[in-house]
Parts: sequence; C-alpha cells; structure tokens
Amino acid sequence: MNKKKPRLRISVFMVCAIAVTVAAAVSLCVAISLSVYNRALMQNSETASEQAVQQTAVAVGNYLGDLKLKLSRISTEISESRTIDEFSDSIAAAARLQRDIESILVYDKNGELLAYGAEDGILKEKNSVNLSFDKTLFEEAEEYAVTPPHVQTLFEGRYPWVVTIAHKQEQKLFNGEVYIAIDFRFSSVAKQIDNVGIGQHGYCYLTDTAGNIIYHPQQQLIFSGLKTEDTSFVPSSADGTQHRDGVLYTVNSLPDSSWRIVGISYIDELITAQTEEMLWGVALSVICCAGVAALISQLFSRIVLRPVRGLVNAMKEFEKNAAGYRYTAPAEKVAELQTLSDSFEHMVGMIQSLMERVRREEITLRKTELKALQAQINPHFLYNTLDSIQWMCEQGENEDAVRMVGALAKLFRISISHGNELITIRDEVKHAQNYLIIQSFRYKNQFTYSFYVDPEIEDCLCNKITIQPLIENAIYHGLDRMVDEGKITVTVKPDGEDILIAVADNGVGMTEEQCRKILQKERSDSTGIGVKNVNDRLKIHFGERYGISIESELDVGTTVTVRIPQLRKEPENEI
Amino acid sequence: MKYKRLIIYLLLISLTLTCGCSSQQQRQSIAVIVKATDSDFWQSVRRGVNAAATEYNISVTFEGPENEEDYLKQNELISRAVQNGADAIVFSAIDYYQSANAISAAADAGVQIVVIDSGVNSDKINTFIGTDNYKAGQAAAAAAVECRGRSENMRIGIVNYDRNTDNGRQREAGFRDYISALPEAEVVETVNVDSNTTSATAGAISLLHSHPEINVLVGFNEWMTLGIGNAVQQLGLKDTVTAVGFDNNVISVSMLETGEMDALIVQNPFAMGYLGVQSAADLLSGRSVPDNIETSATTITKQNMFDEDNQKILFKFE
Repeated sequence: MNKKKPRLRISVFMVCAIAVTVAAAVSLCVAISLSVYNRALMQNSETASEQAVQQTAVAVGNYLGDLKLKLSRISTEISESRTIDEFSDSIAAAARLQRDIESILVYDKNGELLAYGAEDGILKEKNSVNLSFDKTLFEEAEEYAVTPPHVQTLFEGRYPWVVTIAHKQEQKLFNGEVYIAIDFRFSSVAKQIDNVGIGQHGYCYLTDTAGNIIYHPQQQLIFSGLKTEDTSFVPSSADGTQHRDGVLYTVNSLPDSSWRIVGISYIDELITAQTEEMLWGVALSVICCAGVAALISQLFSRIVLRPVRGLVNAMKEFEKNAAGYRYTAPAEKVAELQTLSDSFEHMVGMIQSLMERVRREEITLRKTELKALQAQINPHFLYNTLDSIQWMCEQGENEDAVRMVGALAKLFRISISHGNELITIRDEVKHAQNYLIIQSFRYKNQFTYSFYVDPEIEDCLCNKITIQPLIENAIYHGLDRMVDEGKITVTVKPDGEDILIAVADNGVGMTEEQCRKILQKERSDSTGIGVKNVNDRLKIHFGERYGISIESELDVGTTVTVRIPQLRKEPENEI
Repeated sequence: MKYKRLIIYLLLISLTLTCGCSSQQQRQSIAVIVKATDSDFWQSVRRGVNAAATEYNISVTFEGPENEEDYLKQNELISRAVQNGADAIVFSAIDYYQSANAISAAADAGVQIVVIDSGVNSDKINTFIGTDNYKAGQAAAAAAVECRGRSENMRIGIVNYDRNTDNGRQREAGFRDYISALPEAEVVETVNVDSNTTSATAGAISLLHSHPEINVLVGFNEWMTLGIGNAVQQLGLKDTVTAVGFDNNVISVSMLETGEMDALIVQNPFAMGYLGVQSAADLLSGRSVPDNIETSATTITKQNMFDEDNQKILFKFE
C-alpha cells in the first residue's frame, strides 16, 4: 500500500523544516546585521574619506602657507639688500638650501627677469616661452597669486613641474614695482596627493573652485583620454561628503586658497564584497544546518520513527488477519511508544477474545432460533389432521384413517430425525410425500401431485422441513381457491455444484408484490414454518448465495425454487 | 550508514568553503617585471604602478634587469615572483620568444598574466596593454614627413635595438610600411645596436658616416632617440637632418627645444603601469578585462611642446 502512494515521510519533513527554519532565521539575522554593518561601513568609509582628504588639505594648505611666509621673508630680505648682486647671492643661497624651492625670481611689470636665484642650471639665453610668468594673474591677484602647476622652462635641460607664487611689491632696489615669485617644485605636493589611498579603492585629486583639475594622480590617463573624471559637481558642492551610486565624494577647500581637494572612494565594491562574503556565510550555515538536521532526523528516525513504523505495519497486519494475528510488544527506548505498544498488544488480545465471544453467541442464537422454528410446525396442522382422522373414524373410513395416521406418524418421525438439522434428500422427499398424503385427504382430491427426484443426489443432505412449507404455500395460496384440479410437481435435481429443489403449481399465481411479501413477512397465522423462515434458515446455514427464488404468473402458476449446495453425509455435520 | 557518509561530505564541503572565504581576505600582491628600472620611461611606468597600487590597496613589487638585453634575468624574476606567491604578474618582455616558457609556466601555476609595452610569445596572457606599436611607427614616419614639409628625397637611416624585441619590430614595420607608400622616400639602412645610449650614439654616427646622404634619422626607443640626438649634435647636423625619436627622456626633450630633435612620439608609460596593475586587480577580483588595451602615443614637436595638455604628457613629475 505504501508503494502505491508516496506520502511525505516525517524524517524528510523534519530535515526540510529544520533547514528552512534555520535558513530563514539566519537570512533574517544576516539581512539585519548586513544593513547595520553596511551603515557602519558607510559611516566608517565617510569618516576615513573625510579624514584622508582633510589631512591632505591641511598638508597642502600648510605647504602653501609656508610658501607665502617665505615669500614675505624674501621681500624683507630685498628691502634690506643694498645691491642687486648682494640680493641675488642671498636668494641663490635660499634656493639652494631649500630643496623644494626650484628658483626665486624677480620680474618687472612686463615679465622681464631682473634677478634670480636657483639651485643650479644655466639660464637660457633666448627664452622662447616662460610659463612661470602670468601677467594677468599676477596683476589681478589681491595679495598672492598662485598659478596652476606648470613646467618651468627657464633653465637649460631642466623641466621641473612648479607652482609659482608671486607677490607684487614696491622696491627701491629695483626702482619701482616688481613681482617677486617663487617657483616651487610641485612634486612634493603631488606626492602628498599621490600617496593618499582612501579605503579599499580610492584616491584624491586637486581642483580649482570652477572644477578644473589642477592635479590628478592619474592625469596622464585623463589627458590622453584613457580615463574621464567628472568634476562637474565640485563647484556646487560644499565641503563635506556625498554619496552617489556607491561612490563617496569628499570635497575639502584649502584654507586661503582657491584650490579644493576631492576624494573619491568606491565603497560599493567594499560593500559588495562584504555582502558576498555574508551570503557565503549564509549558504554555509544553511548547508551545516541541513547536515545537522539530517543527523537529528537520523537519530529521531532510529529512536521514534522506526518503532512507529513497526507499529503501523503491525496494525496493517492485524487489519488483514484479525483472528490469527499475534502481537508481542517489543522493548522501546521512548516511554510513550512503550505505552502505545503495550496498549496495542492489550487491544489485540481484547479484540480477539471479543470476536470469539461474538462468534459463539451467534452460533448459540442460531441454534436456539432453529429449534424454535422447528417447534412452530406442530399445533394447528396437528389439530386439523387429528380432526380429519376423527371424522374418518366416525364415517367408518377406517382404511383411510389408518393411512392418515401412518402418514402423520412418518411425518413427525422425519421432523424430529434424532434432533439432526440436516437430513438426506430421500427423507426430506418422504416427509413432503407424507404431508401431501395427509393434505390430499383433507382437500378431497382437489389436486394431484408428482415427484421427480434424481437418484444421484438422494443421499445428499438438506435442511429438514424445506419442501413441506413450500407445498403448504402452493396449496393455500395457489390451489385452494382454484375451481379446476390443481397439480403440484416437485423436482429435485443437481445443478453443477448445487442442488435445485423446485415446487411448481398451476394455481392462481401471484403478483410480483405478493412474491416479495412471502419472502419478507412471517406468516400471519404464526403457525408452521413460512417460506420466509425456510429462506432465512437456508441463508444462515449455507450463505447468502443460497436460498429461495420465486417465479410466478397470474392464472398460470408459481414455481418456487430452492438452491442448496451438494453436501454428502458426513459424521461431523452437527449444526 | 548512508547518512553518516553524507554528513561527513557536508562537513568537508563546509570546511572547504570556510577556507575559500577566509583566503579572499588577504591583501593581494602583484609583481611588476619590466625591461629596466633606471630609464625615465620605466620610472613613469613605476609611477603608474604605484598610483594604481595606492588606489586599489594592493602590494606591488617593481623589478627589472640592469640592462635591457638580459632576458635570463627576467625569466629568473618571473619564477621568483611565482615562488613568492604573487597573485598576478605584470610583464614587459625583452625577448618575444625567450620568456614564453617562463610566462606559460607562471600562468599554469595560477598566476594572472598582464603584458605591458612589449609582447611575449605565449597564449596564456590575459591582456596586453601598450602602445599600438605599428601605429606608433607610422606616426613616426608621418612626423618625419611633416617636419621636412615634403616627402621628396627622403633618405632615411634607422637605428633600432634587439631584433627579437616585439615592440621595436612592430614600430619599424609600421614605419617602413608608411614610407614604402611614398614615392620619393627610401630607407637607406637599419642598424641594430644594444639598447643603451652609448651603442646607439656610436651606431648613429657610423650610419651617418657611411651614408652621408641620410637626411632623416629615426630611433625607436628612448636610448635610440638619445643616440641619434647625440649623433646629430656631435656632427652638427641639426639643420640638415630631421631626427624623429620615441619617448620623453629629459635630454631628448631638451634637444627638441634646441633643435637637434624634430619630433618625439611620446608614449604613455604611466598609463601602461597604471592600467597594467588595474587590469591585474580586476582579474584578481574576478572581473573581466579586454584582451587588448591601447594606450595613447602623442606626436610632440617643438611647436606644441608647451601646450597645457602636452606638458602633462611630456614632462614628468620627479
């Protein structure tokens, strides 16, 4: 039965349930902790980014402040110098001593070089280009002019990247307004910016307030078009951090300068990596849980399910074969199951003893009933017959009276037959014949009768008083009201494994309803054995497929047929 | 019993996964192996490498042999990098053929291979990053024609380095193909010299001596360029010979300003270094990279050398 319908087994269900529950719980925990973690990560990243950018801004700002300080000192020095040569010597010394000062330059208003101090190098004779002098910028600057980084082109064979800081001054030494400028090596600032890595993946760069890139660690890529950097947000952004599309943008203005430091940090990569790792963790724990669940279900199955399954199988066995089943409760590990097994054992015993009792009681009941039924044959028929005999004697019909008494005696002898329920067909037929002898006296030859009995089956057994009630029925209901001479035919013949006993008459016949009623109703006069009683007896004795069937047609006749099994005489047939 | 085995398998799987997860945490290391470490070109590459390493939070080593002929040393550096557990190698080959086995062996050991500047004969390379050397050679030819103002009567001398170095061969091929399409120009002779300034200068001088008709000199890397510049300077030919070179050595740039050199094809070594490490980082984190990334090569002449953008390409931060 199990194989036909695959049903959900508890062990499988357990594994799934545990795995699903744990997976859900873990996922939930991970989702919560991930969001908390991501928020913390974001905050950390923001803080880190802000710190890095601010440090850079402070360093670069200090640097520029330092330069301005130096520029003002040089101004002082100029005013203290008496000759241009003396001044040149002192600025040359300053340039040599300070590694990050490329050169100190004094220009007139038109950019003509008046004096210079440089670490080394030969001044080019013909300056094709001087990128260090920017007249408009110098003139417009309120106090200090700071150029974007550029290449210094003043000395032969040297092209250092510098930032020029210039300051306009009235100087007696040069007889009028001059620009004092320091060309500063930019690489020191560039290194500051180059060395800033923000978080797992990030960098920073330098812009002016309009968002033009002043220095970018990857500027060679940007200017050759291999990389683009979107700086359009810089002019509109206040100092601080913003977060767009998984990228942190931190902007910080340099003090006293138009420069701004922008930090870029790709936190989405970090978060993606962390999330991925967490998901691996979840997958791992789910697998572990499935493993643990499998283990638990294995244990559960061994301790609980196997005995339960044993019990279920035992019940099925019991269902199939209730009477012959034997069950002994095995020793179980779990108390409840032990109780269950013990109860089942007890129940099996109880049911079996009850079944036995019911069977015995039924047999007793049937025997009692049969005895009662057999007892019903006697009184009314006996009185009538005795009346007839008395009447015959009175009329002097002694011969007939003798025959009648003889028939009556045989009738009763066969009825009793030592208390046996089953008698041979030969005896049963004799019984019927004797009955007909008596009845034919009473009905003054209103009918004739004939018997056709197959001698093969004369020794077979049948219930006693089977044919007689059928003949009685034929006489009372079929022939009694007939004007013509009636005819009763009794046929006994084998039919395969069975025997058919047919009692046919040519009487008034019955409607279908009458036929049915005869098989359902007890006789109303409550004397003798009715057709129904015969039928009931046969069914009780031989089973449902045996019994009486009636065929009848109005004004043609009725045939009542009895079907019984062929039983040969055996000594044990005690029922 | 079946269950028990299953459980053991599950535990093993979880263990492997745990190991797999935790190993991702380590900081990745990339070995950059180049042809030399002293030239301006390779110093720029190094700056690019460092910029990317800072940006991507990766530890890098930057190594190369002392002279640009020593492919054996390069091979040794490759196998040492593999032994030291490098996750990726960024490599520029001196010899197109001789380093192939070393690179294939490294790739077989699970190391990601990114090649920059100059190729190697191996199919285990994940990506190549560098100048399109053939195009750069053509650009050099075009610059020579432009500097002379006309293509007539061009008598060209080529000073090139090791015949087996891939990028030199490609550049010369591009150059020759461009020239052969011109009716009045011809390549008189090519000399192949060791890749250093002294050899290049000597080679260029002897080339000019043996072929006085030469009016265009071409050098295909930094040292060849210095060689032809020196030759022009020493022989006083700066007004008659058009010299076209590669890369932005500060001396070549100075010669460009003073007139010994007429045009420089400036590659983008910073980009090679930067993109090399970036690609390696991308490969290590499982992202895909293109097979070939072309870095730019810009033609710089005296006229445009101080343009704002060209400054950033031509002059290096120290």
